[in-house]
Amino acid sequence: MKEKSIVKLKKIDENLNKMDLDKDNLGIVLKTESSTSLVLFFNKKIVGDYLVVNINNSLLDEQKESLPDQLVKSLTNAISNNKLNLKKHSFKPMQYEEYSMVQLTCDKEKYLKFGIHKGEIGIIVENYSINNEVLVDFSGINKKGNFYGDCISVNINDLKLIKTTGN
Amino acid sequence: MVTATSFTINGLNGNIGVTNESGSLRAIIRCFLAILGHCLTCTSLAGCYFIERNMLEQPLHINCDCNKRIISHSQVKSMASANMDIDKLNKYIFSENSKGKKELFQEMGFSKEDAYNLKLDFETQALTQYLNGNYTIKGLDAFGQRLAIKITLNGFSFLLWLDG
Repeated sequence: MKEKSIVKLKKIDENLNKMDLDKDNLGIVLKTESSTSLVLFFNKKIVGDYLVVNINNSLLDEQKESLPDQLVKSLTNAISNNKLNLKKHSFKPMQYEEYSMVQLTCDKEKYLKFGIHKGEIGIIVENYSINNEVLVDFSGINKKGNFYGDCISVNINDLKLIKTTGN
Repeated sequence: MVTATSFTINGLNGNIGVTNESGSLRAIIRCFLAILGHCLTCTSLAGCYFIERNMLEQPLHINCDCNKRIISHSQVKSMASANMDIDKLNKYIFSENSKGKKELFQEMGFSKEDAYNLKLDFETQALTQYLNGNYTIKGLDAFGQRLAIKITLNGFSFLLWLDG
């Protein structure tokens, strides 16, 4: 296994399963020993979140794509400057599932400029979050058949769950 | 002339390009740049194509490193695609939580059974309108640039003839 290569999990054991890792998780090899590698895995549900785990090389599949050279240098610098927490062994939990119904709990300019007010109900329309924000569709069709509202990104702390998917 | 916005950012040691092609490498680069604290609105735009007469102004913000280059319409046509997750219809539009959208589709004669054909219709029309520059630029954030595109749907109600 080559350092800074992109890998995918090809097998899951019980420990990895408990970490919410599955066969689709992609990661970057930070360091490699003879039979194990220290891998940074990206959280598919929260962009910007990651975990670091020491894992047996037999569970990894090296991908044909490779990181651009400058990104490899940035990664090396990030490790040496402690920008990456190598002791982070778990993913943050995803607070809202796709198609959950939520309610906006505050009035903020960034929502008001789209005509979205406190108390409005919307649906989460993506299965991932970025920077603590989720994409919410507050749009609807009124009784006259006219469209109203908009689809915007909202901070998860500005939302309240009304009901989850399937309820 | 179609102008493409291509994105490069200045990393610690020079330029880091977010690959234009969709797929796992682009996703990984974006995730990694997110960890390093780069502007995700800009990285979401990397590789996006906008027709020159209907595109965002650059720069997007102070210290924005985005730039653009001209790209031919033929090249955009060969690379652009429109994809709609069918769950958007099955789990949202035709659900009880759609705030009037289900009723609108039903009035036009559509039901959940039409989801697959509706998906194809949406994808075909959205791509055609986009390539012609017929879109309205809406919200932009780390999830990307949203465009509003008008779609024409013709619903029909069929009746099954039953003999007595």
